[in-house]
Amino acid sequence: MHKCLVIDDEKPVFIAITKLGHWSSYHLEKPLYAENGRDAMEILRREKPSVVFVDMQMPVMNGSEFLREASGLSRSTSFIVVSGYDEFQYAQNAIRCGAMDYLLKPVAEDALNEAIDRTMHTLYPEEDFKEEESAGEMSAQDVVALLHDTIERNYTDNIRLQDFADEYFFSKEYLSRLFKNTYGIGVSEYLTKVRMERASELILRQEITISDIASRVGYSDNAYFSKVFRAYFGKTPSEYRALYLS
Amino acid sequence: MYDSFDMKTGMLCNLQLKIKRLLDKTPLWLSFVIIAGNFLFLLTLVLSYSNYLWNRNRLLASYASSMERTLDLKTASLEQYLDDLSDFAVLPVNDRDFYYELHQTAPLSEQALQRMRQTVSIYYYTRSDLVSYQLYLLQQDIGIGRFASDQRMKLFASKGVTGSDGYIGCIHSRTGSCLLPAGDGALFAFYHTMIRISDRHPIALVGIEVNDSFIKSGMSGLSYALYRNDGTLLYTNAAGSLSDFLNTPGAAAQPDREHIISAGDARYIYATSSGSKYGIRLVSYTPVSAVTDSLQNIRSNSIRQGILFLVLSLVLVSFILRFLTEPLDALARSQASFGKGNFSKISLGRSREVSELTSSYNEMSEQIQNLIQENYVSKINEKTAQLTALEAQVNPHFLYNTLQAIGSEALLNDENEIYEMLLALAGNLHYSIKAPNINSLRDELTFTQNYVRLQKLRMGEKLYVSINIDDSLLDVMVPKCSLQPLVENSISHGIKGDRSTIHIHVFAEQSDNLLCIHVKDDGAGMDADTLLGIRQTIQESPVGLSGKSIGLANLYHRLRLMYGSQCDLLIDSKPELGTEIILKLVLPPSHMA
Repeated sequence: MHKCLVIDDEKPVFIAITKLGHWSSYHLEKPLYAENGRDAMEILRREKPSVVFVDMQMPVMNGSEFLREASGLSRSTSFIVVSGYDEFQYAQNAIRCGAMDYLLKPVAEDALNEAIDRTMHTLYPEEDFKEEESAGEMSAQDVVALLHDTIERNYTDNIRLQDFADEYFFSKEYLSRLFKNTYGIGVSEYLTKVRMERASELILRQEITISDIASRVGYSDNAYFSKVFRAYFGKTPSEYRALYLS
Repeated sequence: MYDSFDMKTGMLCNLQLKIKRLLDKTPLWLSFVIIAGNFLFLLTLVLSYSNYLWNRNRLLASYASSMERTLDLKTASLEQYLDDLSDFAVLPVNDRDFYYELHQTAPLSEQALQRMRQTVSIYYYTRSDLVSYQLYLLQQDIGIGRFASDQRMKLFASKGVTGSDGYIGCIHSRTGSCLLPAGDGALFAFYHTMIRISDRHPIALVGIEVNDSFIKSGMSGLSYALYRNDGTLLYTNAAGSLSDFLNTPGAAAQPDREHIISAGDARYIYATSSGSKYGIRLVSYTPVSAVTDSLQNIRSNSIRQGILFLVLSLVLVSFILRFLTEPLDALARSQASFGKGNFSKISLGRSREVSELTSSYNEMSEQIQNLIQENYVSKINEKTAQLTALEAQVNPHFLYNTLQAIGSEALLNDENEIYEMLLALAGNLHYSIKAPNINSLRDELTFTQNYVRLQKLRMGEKLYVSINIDDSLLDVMVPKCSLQPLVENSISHGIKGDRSTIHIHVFAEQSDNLLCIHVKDDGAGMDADTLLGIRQTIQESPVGLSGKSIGLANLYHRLRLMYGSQCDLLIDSKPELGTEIILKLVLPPSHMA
């Protein structure tokens, strides 16, 4: 598998490129991200990506400067420029600085994949790339199922929706909505539910202290656990224990 | 009757119209040459001819008057001649014997008669101009004479002399003499009485015929006639038809005012002079042709000169006219190019009128330029200002980054459709803003399809567009925004009134090197007047146009800039049925199928 990198001071281009590229077809891992030219140089040296997407308008280090510097660094790296200007002179300039291709913003799926196709075929002419439609991409539904699963199994962990959103490039709200539509219950509600169910099992084992139960089901704060428990069951953990153990 | 009248006035109006049209096409100098030329030509002829006539008459008059002076001299000398003849006639009286015998009333002796005869004979031979001579002794009834046929002086009997014309004429004349016509070769017969001193009673009559030698002298080359005052012709040297004329009675008619008299088939200048003492009148007849022949040359010359002068002056004037009116042609050309947008000032002159025209033209040109400046240019400035303000707010960097940001948010929400819409919007923005104003049909088609997709987002099922253009045609070059505006037009004008749905078909046909791109809709269409108005507007220069149809006029203009005359923009429409716009392009040879 090869690596690739997106350099842009704003996330949207990175998001679009990541979501629209057919990475697996081209034996590429999901793109790495650099916020500016300096970080990019770091990653370039360390990871040695095959393809680098560069936004020409960057505050810290100008796109052309970066290109000139970076393209001298490695022969086996292709640079694809992303720009808002559909002007020949810009493309010419970019190519002079060492870019191999030019993409317009907003990034279009076909233009992106054609550029990746050209680049990979040029860099690795002996490799066999099959153009498949997002084979290994996880759909939002898949992510939600995974989330559901994760909550069920790893309820102890601090499961945050945002992490899943970031990991799989879906919006938090969307995943939340989808989760609710699929399972009839909100993410945090479900997490709470799973934790409380587990807590209600554990609370019947007298040998485990309440605070222990709290941490086992994932709450670091005892008082908070009690509050949530009370809201869920209508009784504090102690009262609940008291009730069910008598 | 009314019909024929109408027809006549109709024909007259028709004729007037034809003349007017003809005049409008004819250059000024040519009109002048033809009209003035004809007029002047006639005038020249008339003037030349009247000049000729006047000269002729003057010539004739002066000839006549100089002739008359000559004749006056001749008449005077004729009278002297007659005086001389008178003296000669009574000469024998100087002989005493003769005188005595003359007075005898009793018959004279033979001897006496012979003596008288001899005396007369002697006197006879003193003159060389006598043709015949008779002396009639009235108291004796005897005459002494020599006749033309006979060489000798003879005595002969004479009776009734007192009844003869000669005698009667002498009796009635103051001078005691009279003239009578004589035979051929003789000038006249001169009769003179010899009178008795005492009672003045005539006692003898002398009759002399003289030859024409006297009259002939100094009169060579002339035809003339000698008359008695009462019109009797005494002698003429005329020959031929003039002679016949003169010999007919009453031929001494007065000439007309120009001293011309017609005699037979010829015309003569008539000059006359009279002698009062003897009552004679001398008339000369000069053939008019003799005098006026020289005039013929003068006449031809003067006409030739007149025409030459006319032609030269016409040529000169026509050149001058052309020279003066040439600026008008230049002015007309300026005005023609004015209509095409060329407002340059002109500088024409050569005459006050043209100078005034030039200066007022320049004023007008300036005013129009100012108006255009104010109106059109300020509109452009306005738009440019708007555009600049817009660009300042919406620079492409900001625009595309924002679109990307919105798009990525949509992607995060699995809203791929929305991302596609944003791509369509951004694609069209890229296309509109980017530099080349000429693109492939492929690009233009993509642009149009993006536009349609965005419109469909708004209109849904109400918009149906089919596009059918063969791939081989996609490389044809067309102006930017040549296809999309047509589709836009169909949508914005096709949906009116009850209609809320529209079907648009875009297709292309190629035959040889002619490419026709059709945009056909089933929209509201337009009535014939509107259609005509739009067709006219398309042809107009987009400069200064505003409002509706500027897009079509603008497109047509840009097409023409690209393809010259090898293109066309046609529009057809029927109310309620729809509109079809056809873009016709003549493809360069590389595109022949």
